[in-house]
Amino acid sequence: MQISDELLMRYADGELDPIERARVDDAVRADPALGRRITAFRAQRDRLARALASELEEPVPDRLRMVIERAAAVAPPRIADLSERRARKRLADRILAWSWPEAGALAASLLLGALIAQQVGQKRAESTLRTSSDGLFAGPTIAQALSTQLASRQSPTADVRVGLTFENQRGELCRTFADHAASLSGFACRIGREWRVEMALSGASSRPGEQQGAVRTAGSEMSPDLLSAVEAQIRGEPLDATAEAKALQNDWRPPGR
Amino acid sequence: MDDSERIKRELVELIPRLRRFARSLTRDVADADDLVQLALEKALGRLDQWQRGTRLDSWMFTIVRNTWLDELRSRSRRGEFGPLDEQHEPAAVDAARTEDTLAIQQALGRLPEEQRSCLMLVLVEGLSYQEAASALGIPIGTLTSRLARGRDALQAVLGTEAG
Repeated sequence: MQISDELLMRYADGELDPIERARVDDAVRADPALGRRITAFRAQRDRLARALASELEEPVPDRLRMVIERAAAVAPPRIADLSERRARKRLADRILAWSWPEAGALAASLLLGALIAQQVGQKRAESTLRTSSDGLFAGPTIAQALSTQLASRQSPTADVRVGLTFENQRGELCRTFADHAASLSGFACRIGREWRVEMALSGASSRPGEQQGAVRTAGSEMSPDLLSAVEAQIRGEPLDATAEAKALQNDWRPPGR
Repeated sequence: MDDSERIKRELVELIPRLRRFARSLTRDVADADDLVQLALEKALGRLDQWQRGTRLDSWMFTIVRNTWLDELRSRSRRGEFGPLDEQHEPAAVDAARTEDTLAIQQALGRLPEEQRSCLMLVLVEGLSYQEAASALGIPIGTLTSRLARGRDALQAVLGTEAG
């Protein structure tokens, strides 16, 4: 049979299956020159590996180590209680999965009540949010989204996107939202037939995919203010897609009742 | 999170090998470190794309090399010289290196990148043909023939210098 140089190389590199190897062994017994060729391939491999082994001994520059260690620092903060930590981790994962687009662009201004009107613009605010003596409520557009949209099935180009759904400490169901048209985000809880806005943040917002050129790190996916507000009020873990769909069917009534 | 902590530890351990591979590409120590840094940043940003159960080193070699090829493309767009310009003294600065290290580095440096990367991954980094082919995004037959040509060329260069 034909013994090619490539076959000898593969033999030397341990790349042959047992049958091919046996064939080469036979050929080498008949022709010692083939054996010398295999030895030469192995010698070259050893020489190369040995010559470049010294490069592994050099000290690693700190900045390279730092790249990795800095990345480690963006992990969620340690929390003493294990179950809380688990819930918080799940929450963070859900938020990342949802990929809140307002991220870094969100100005960290927290607006409540009347302040909304000034910042968002009186007219827009009236349709977006509604104030009453009982507090701040979602206007028709946001309320419609909160009542009917499922986070898992909404259009990425929807004007209002819904994020997490969770139960608060009072047992009410709450949902986070981002109104792209009004540059407004926050979360609201279901009270009777209304959505009471617990927190609203103003900021330039963009829909997923509209952000350009910005490097988005994991931690910047959601406004830290909103995240910590949700964390402060959440009871247990956010609803998964199934529970969210069930809650919709149940018209967002408090799960305990 | 524990999983990604473990991967990060493994990445730290990989740094020396990544630098070595990067140097074979850039042929410049400082460029190589920049390249490794860039590749690590990329990798950390998409750890979810690494398939558990596959070799992390192979995955990193791929990222290092693709990052380098991107860099070369943008350098040539900017009208800058590639890595073969004379402004940088190739890795020869380290006096601790043995003579043979230098000879091998220079000989490797004369090979086309596609052959050099095959030699580095298989002969130096110890990847199997299949693993190296996957890391380079080429069929195993292509890898085998590049490896064969690279070995011949290396031998020719080293032979000339010895003689």
